[in-house]
Amino acid sequence: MKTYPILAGFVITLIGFSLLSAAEPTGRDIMVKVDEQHKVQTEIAKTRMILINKAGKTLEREVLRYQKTYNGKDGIDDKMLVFFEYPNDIRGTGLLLWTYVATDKDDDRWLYLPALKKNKRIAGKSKNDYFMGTDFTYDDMGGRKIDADRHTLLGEEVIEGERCYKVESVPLDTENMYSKKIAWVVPQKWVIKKVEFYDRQGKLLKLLTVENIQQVDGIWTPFVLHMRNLSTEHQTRIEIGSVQDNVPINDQVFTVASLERGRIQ
Amino acid sequence: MKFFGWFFCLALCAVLASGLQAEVVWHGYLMHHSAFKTAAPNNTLMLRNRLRLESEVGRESVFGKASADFTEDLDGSGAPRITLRELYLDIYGDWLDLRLGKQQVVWGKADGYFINDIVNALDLTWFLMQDFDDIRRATTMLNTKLHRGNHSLVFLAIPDFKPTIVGYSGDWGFDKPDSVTFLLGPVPLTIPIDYQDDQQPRGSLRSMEYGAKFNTFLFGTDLSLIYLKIHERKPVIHKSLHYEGMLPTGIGVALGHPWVRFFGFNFARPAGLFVIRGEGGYYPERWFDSNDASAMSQGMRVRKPFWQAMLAVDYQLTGNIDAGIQLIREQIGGYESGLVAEEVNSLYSLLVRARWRNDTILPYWLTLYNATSESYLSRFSVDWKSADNFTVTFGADFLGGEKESAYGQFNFGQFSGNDHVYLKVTYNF
Repeated sequence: MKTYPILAGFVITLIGFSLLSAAEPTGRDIMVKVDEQHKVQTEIAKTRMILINKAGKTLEREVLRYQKTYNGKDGIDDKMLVFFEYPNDIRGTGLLLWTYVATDKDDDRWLYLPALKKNKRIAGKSKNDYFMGTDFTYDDMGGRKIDADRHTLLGEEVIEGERCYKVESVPLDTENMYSKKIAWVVPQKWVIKKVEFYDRQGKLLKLLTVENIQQVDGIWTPFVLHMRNLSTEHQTRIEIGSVQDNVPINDQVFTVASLERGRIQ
Repeated sequence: MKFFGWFFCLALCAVLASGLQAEVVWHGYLMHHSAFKTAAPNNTLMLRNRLRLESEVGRESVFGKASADFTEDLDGSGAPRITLRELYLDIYGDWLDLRLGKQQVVWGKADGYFINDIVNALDLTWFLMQDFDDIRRATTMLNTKLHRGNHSLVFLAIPDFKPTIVGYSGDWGFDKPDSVTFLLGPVPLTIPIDYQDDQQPRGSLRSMEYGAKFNTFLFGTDLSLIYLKIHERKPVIHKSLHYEGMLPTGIGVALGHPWVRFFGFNFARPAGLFVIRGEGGYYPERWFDSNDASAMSQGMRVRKPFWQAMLAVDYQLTGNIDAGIQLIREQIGGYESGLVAEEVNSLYSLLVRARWRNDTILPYWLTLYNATSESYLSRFSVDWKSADNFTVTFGADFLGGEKESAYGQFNFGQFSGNDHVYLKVTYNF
């Protein structure tokens, strides 16, 4: 007779654990969901970057970005071609970027400078570089792979009235400029609302806030990204002007020949 | 010719804009450029205002571009002038791109040196004071590119010949001796020189230059193979002796541009934080000046093979500082006594670039050292981008080394009196 309550307790415990695991995803599960939610085959975006210095003075950049996901075909994760349209002194400057699925394989990068009329191969290992004077590194722009970090769910918090998962991501490589990142993710939408970036000494270095999240073709897309560097007091505000997802883009766009045209046909 | 160029430009804009309902975009810059010698601050090297106006018109797969400079030298060294820099039409296809018209073609991986980058002639009137974009002389040609994936094949057909402009007077003038000394047996003999006009190839099918370049991406490496059949850009000297009786009384110097064949290659490959790049060139035959009497029958010049090679390493010192080192070697094959040029010419360069304060302060330092002539060019500059489209550049160029040089050899020492500081203020629109 005494075995029933023990068995019942065991069963209840098992059900409880399974319910708990369904309700509480791991940190990695959350980051995979975020990645999958915005997994598009192609994207064309016009972006305005506003660089704000300590004194509040602003500089602007406008870029046209073409991106295509290759899902591991020939080892390639995705390819991106960016052309600067403003300011006029760097107009036509282009960047071609190929990222690979293998975490230990460096990106291939080419820079086209219209003033020199030639493309220049640049090192693909330097993912901690800031992108064209902004406060975003190449990694911050979205090139980082999920398994390059160890993700831990720290709990839940409410940000601007929305319940968010709080996930800590610690880089597995020791060369990374960050010791950790903490991201707040909105469940259901699976978009990041805020990220804190900590330097190697564990001090808060940068703060990213995401605004104006809208659905485009069923995909939750942030239209404003605002990065503040607390160390330099410099800020970058990225405003997405227009986005087209999953439109056909010829593979030939993501080649050096296309980069050397200085424009996208 | 200029009139027809402008006419073509306007016609092109009109046809494209109306026929294709294309958008016409105007842009360019206004620049002031002042340069003063450090040894004699009152001696102005350059005091120039320039308006660059560029127009692009096109839609979908057809584009036209025209670029012109309106230049005024404020020190009275020349009248205001208009220069048509580029004028071409682009047609893009899925596997074929065409560019027809006056254009610059830049091949090669070297910074600040010309090994593969020899399609366009140079304007050395201001030596290296101007940007490379201004030094290259745009040439009318048909540029065809077949491309598929990571491979492309480029063909050039160049009916229009343009020589490299070498100044023989003023601050950046190269030596142009009015007499020459050579050995007649054991006796040195000095006689005056009579210069004749530069004999340039005429525009015809027979004198049309051509070339090809194959580009590929193999095992993470960019690789190019090049072939060119062109005329020598810098004039080659043909000397002939004038006699009175048995004694030579003068020397006639004719300048010409003989054919040369060029085989080249270049590559670039990243390795971690490094990028390794290289470039090579080989001329099976090139003319070189000779003082040996045995070369008299060939106009005091001899034909020799010539090769050039460059190996470079770029390294990212920190997130916003890059450095690059280049080793360059040139050699005349089958070297013999009497040749004016050195058998081997070795150069080294160091380039350091930084991007500070979110790319608003851009310091730059380039040093080119010619180990053969023991001469150097050291160039410092800082770009300050204080506002959108507005750049102020402060810089200084230092040149030094042996003053004497052979014709056609890159010797910075001959301009050692021209150390200078400069200021450029540029507004882009």
